[in-house]
Amino acid sequence: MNPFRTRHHIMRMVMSLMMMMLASPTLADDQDFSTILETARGQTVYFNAWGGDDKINDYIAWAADEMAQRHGITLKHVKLANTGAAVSRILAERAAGRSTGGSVDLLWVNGENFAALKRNDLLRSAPWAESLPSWRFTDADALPAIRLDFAVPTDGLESPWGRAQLVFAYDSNNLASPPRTADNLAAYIISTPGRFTYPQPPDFVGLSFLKQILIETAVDTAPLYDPVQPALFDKMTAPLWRWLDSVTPHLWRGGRAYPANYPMQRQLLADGEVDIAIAFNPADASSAIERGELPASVRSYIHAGGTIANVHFLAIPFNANAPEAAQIVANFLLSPEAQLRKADPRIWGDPTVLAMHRLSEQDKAGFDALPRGVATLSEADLARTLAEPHPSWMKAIETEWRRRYASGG
Amino acid sequence: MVCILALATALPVIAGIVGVTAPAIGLFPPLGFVSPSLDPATVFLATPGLARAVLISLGTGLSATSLAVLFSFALLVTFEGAHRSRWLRRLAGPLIAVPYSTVAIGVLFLLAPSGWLMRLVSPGLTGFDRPPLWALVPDGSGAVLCLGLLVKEVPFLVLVSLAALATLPVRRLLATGMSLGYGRTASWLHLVLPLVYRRIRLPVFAVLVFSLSVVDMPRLLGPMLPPPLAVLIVEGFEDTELAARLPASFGALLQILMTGAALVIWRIGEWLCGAALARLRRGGFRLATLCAYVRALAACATLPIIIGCTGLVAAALWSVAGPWFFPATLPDALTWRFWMRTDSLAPALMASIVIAAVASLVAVALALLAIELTRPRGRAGVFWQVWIFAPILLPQAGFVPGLQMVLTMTWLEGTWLAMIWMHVLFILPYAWLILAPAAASLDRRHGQVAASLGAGAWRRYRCVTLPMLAPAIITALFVGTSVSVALYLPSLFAGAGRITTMTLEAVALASGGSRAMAGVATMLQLLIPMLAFAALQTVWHLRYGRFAGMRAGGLH
Repeated sequence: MNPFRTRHHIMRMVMSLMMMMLASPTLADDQDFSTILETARGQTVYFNAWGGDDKINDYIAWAADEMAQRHGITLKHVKLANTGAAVSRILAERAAGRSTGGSVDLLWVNGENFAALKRNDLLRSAPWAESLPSWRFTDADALPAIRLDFAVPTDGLESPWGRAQLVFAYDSNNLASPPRTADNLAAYIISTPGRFTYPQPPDFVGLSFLKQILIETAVDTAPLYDPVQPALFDKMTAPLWRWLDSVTPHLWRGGRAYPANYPMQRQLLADGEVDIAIAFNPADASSAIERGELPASVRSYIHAGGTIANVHFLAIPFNANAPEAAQIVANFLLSPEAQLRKADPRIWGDPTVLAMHRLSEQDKAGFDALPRGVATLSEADLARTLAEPHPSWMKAIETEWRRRYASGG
Repeated sequence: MVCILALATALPVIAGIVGVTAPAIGLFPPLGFVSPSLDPATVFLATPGLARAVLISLGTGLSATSLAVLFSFALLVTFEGAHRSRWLRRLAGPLIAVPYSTVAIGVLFLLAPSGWLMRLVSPGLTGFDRPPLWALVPDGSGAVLCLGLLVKEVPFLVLVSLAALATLPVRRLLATGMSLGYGRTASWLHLVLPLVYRRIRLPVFAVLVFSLSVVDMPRLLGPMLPPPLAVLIVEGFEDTELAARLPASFGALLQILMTGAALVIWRIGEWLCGAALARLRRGGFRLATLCAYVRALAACATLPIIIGCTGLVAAALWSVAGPWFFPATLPDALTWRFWMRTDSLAPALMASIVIAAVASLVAVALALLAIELTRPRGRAGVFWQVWIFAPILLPQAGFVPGLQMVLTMTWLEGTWLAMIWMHVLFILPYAWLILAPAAASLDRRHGQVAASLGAGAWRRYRCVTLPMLAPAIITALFVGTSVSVALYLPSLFAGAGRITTMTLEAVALASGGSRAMAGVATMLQLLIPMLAFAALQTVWHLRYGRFAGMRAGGLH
């Protein structure tokens, strides 16, 4: 026997063993997934998701039909007015000691809600999101926000679903060129009193607007991505309060009242009471025009330095009754087919979380061919994004805002 | 049997109360808070603007309630018995069933600088092609909030007053007054209204409690900086930071304290008014000019009713409106698009009808049973009243999680039983406060007459007591249906996504902020109380239409 050949043989064996070891996670995942698929058949998934938009409701209804046909899974949309109600229910179940058979199987969530659920161990503890077959169509290097929800690592506890970005809408009949920086906005507010406002904190769009101004006015934004330090808070937020102090007397109603949420502010824009509305979905203005809720002359814009962008996710609570079927649903909703349909403004218009270079030519062509709403910015215009600060800043800013502007002093 | 019933109502209520009290003193195991502490109290008491928020709550609550009583009495005196009263009575019922948020949106849509009133005169008279910068709403004083509250509360008090009037010999009392040389209005003031007030005192307390705890309205109408206490509490419970529930729970206890204080203030006011009226009576003043004042007051009192109706018309219009921008007075186009989508709501509609009907009937039956059981013991009834009212005294966001725990531990959430059980708990206080005074004012001698004719206890109850209570029972059933249809949080928790009601669908739809969807949602929510109204009316006329003395007791 040729010793060389034997060595070669051993080498090949070692090599193939190493190859197998390298490859085995994927192999195991696929096997796991088919087991999951098997278990999921016949299960019912109670999907708790905001139900205030009939387009979104229709999209979820479509997904439910597909799930029933393909995998024998019953998908029930539990329509919520706010996510907090579902979080309360999960919390009450935890308090009652219900560790299995919970009432929520899948939850539409992100940011502070996710951080709170994760911190209090209210989510399914085993990471699952990154072993879904559809995960391979995403690229966390290109879009870090799919693994970093408001600077909090997702750790595979939630599966990305869609993207959102802070955008401003204005009526081009009333406003020729909108202000595109925090400084220009302040100058605009002071020269045009009574025509700008923002949703009243603790509304999340209102707080996001404050975070946007905070990032734009801050000298150094790095500390914003760590948990808030009381010692640093005053120094970091001083420019924000200076900005607000200068504009507040010139806001809509002199800053003595605010719209309760962004749909109300959109209504104010429609009624011509204010010049600018704020939304957290680039397609919001286009959809509102289509529904006849905004004049056709409305257009959208973002600030020159970019605006806050984030990703919204699907999470499985710790005591979900049908965690297997919930994963199948999350996997389907992340698939190119479902994401393409979701990105279509005629269906919903929610930007995809998938990476184009990971898709097949055919799927990529599908995304390229999507029409854009009349008031929706192009992907290129929306490319300038700012990352969400750590969620702890939100609460700190809210409390200080309340102290300064809402205590009636 | 009685024990089981008592347990079925007491257990969740106690759980609800514990569910609020424990976090308030720092105990909330699911989040890892296991030792008592004063932190929740300290944190909540440090809320910026808290003192002002409490003052605003008390101010708007007390003024809205006193105005509601004044207005409803003025309407009663002016219109009762007169032929033109029919439209007023017919409007009271539906207005009770309109959701608070719709009333708020309606008021806003009417009074805002871009609102309907301004659109009527713009740009023609004003030259405005954009809304002006000055505004009535939202306001910081709470005046508009009071107006909004009156839209709901005046009809409610008119309705319960009418039920109370039906049990009084109004004509004889008025005749007595007038034979002594007093005018009609003065006779009302001296002889009838004190008796009516005594019978509607509990509903008036409920109105006061509700005015202090309303959340939807101040969010739209102001004051906002700071908002009333109830809004601060709800914001705490809705906070994404889960630990914010602990201070919010302390806030809920503070809310109870504040409600108690408001009730004490109200009692003092009652006593002062009583003393003033007694002086007037003893002085023998003829009060000849009173009539003019009452007329003026009644004219003012129609304002909230008109606003409420306009809000409804506006909601109906939005539900079919296409684009509709300032300064257009009417929508540019009409569309049925929003209504086309409602066919999928049939199961929710059926569920709501079943729940509202069963829960109202059960709650009314329970209240009647409780009244019969507590009557012989006299004062013992007070104890049972305290916890029966807990569901409407405590902020729902704090109270409902405790209820949810009972359902979860009994594996009942998501079942019809749980849903109806929860609804009964929230209807029961209203059923009690409408039925208890009516039962207390019954002339027991009718029963004695029946007994002397040989009727047994059950027969006496069925043939004498129940028909005499019928006006109050009908009112309680209708109010119960309206309450059931409006319950959002308890339905969400008890249904656990397994059972969907109309309100769950409607509130979710309206959260998108479109006026059109809010309009559709309002119309859908109104549907069930309207059906109940029609059904109860029909039953009433079939059963009692031939008794002249009872004709006045229906819902009209």
